[in-house]
Amino acid sequence: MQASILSRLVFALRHQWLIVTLIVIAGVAAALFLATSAHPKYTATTSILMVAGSADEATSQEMTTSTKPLLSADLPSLATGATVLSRLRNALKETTPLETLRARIRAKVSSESTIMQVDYTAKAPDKAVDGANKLGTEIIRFYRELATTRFDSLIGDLNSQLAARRSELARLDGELADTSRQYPFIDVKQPGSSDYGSQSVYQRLISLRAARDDLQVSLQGDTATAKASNKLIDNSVPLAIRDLVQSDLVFTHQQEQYAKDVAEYKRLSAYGSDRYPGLVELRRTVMREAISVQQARQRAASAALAGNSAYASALDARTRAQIQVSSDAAKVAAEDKTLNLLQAQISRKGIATYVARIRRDHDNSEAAYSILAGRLAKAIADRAEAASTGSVIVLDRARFASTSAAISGSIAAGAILFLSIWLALTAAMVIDGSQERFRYNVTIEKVYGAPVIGSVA
Amino acid sequence: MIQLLSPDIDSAIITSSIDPRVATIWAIVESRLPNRAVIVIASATKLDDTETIARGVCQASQEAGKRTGYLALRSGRFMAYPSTEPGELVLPARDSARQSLDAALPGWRSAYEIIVVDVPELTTSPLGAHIASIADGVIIALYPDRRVKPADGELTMLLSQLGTSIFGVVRTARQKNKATRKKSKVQHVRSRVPSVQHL
Repeated sequence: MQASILSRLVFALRHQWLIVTLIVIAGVAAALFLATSAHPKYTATTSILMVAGSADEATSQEMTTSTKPLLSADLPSLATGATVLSRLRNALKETTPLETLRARIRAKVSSESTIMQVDYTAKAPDKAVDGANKLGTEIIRFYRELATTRFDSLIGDLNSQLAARRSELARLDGELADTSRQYPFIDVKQPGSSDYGSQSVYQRLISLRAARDDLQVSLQGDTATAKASNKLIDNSVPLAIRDLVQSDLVFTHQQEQYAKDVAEYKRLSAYGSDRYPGLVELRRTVMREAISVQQARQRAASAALAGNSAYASALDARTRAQIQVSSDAAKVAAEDKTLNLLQAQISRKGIATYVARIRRDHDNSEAAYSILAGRLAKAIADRAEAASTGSVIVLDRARFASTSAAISGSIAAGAILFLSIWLALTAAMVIDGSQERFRYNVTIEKVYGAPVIGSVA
Repeated sequence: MIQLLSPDIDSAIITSSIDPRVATIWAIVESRLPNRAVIVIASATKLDDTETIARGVCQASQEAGKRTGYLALRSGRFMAYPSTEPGELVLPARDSARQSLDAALPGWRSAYEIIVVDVPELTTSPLGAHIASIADGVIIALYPDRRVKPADGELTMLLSQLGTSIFGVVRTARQKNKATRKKSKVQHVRSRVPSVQHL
């Protein structure tokens, strides 16, 4: 059996020598590279404590009160993330590729513990310690940035939403103000006033009508008063004239003289003019006295009526009544005008609905603004909590480094060389076994359909 | 395994002075040949050495007392076996090779009892296929270590289409490259008389 395997191996090597040679050359090159480039390595460890929070609780559905941005089990991934590695590279003042740097780091955390061990491997012990400590610092720094960044995003978003709500409220306020100017009898009260929304337009219409009716009643009463005053004046005029005339001595004397002369004239006239030659002259005198008395009466009646107290009182009462009537009439006219305007505005189609919609939108926006403002306040408080307390701290900084228990370069090179030879032989056997050859007479007879009649090889 | 030899053939081999392996092959072939015959030594690839078998058959035929002619298709030369000369160039050009062959073949058939034709890579040679079509049988030379190739199947199919019978397959050495072959030929000419030891 062994001889058969050996002969097969020799046969395969004879036919697959090129592949075998290539694999062995590659193995030798890899072994030489490993032997010359392998150096001792040192590893330092930093311990990081993760304070348990609601983010680790399975029942927590939302992280509204938590300042912990990720689960403890995900923290090792954070340690080898590109951001942390890039910052670590800057802190170490190196130009190493991130993949190389990532290969130096090993972070692990067990399910029973909240402490994460972070290993950093370097060629020198002091570099390993320095790298481990700086890595821990960068992990915590980035963790806190994550914790606050999400709140920053939330706060920014809430601020933008609040600004949008403010502008919407300002627009609605402007619309309401415009509406109040254009339609003063519809929703004249501004939002925020004490009686905002307490009066409807129809209540206002009813009250206006009631006021107009009251004014009309007052007008009627005042008109009647004015009429009575006029009658009173008419009645007081003769009395006043009489009083005035009676109080005028000249008039009284003239009237008495006139009465005597008239009586004398009438007596003399009864005897006839032919009997009394001075009758004509008396008649002329009576006529002059009549004119004079009439003028005196007119003078007394016209000039002296105001001086009569009763007449003056009646005149004053009539004047007051007339003023009151004029005032009432003006008020009634104003109320009518207001009522007509209000009636016209009410009769305009859609105005009331439009105003109601604006008011409803305003109320909704105000409610939404209040909710957003509350959430903003909470987000600001959470961010402050996340930035101040944090939930990840360095428990134990690295102070020394230990050599890793890796195999030496020469042993590794020997192993690689052995593996390459083994791989080359295996590949030769496999490839050769997969190829059909004229190795046996059966194969020849199968392919050609003719017998093998000899051999001269 | 196909039974190849009979007691008569065994006794013939024992009495022969040539290489027993060649004698065995000749004995098998001769038993199936008429008095005058054309034998083609063919191969599917250039790795298979046809020349060694062809010369061995020629020698065995000549030892058997038959007038033997040898046509090497690769060089286009024909010679009576054994001969100290390199041979007459009978197939000078590829275009007129078939006419030349057809013209020369009746004379060869009357002059020689056995004509051995060496045709390497039969599937790629139209002239070789023509010769195989008029031959009495074909011996296939095969280098046994090589992989099975499509040319092997094509050779079998071509011979089947031509109606040429296959005497059998003979294991042979790997065909030497051009430089080695030329050196070998020079040595062969210098030795004047080829011997079975060259096989």
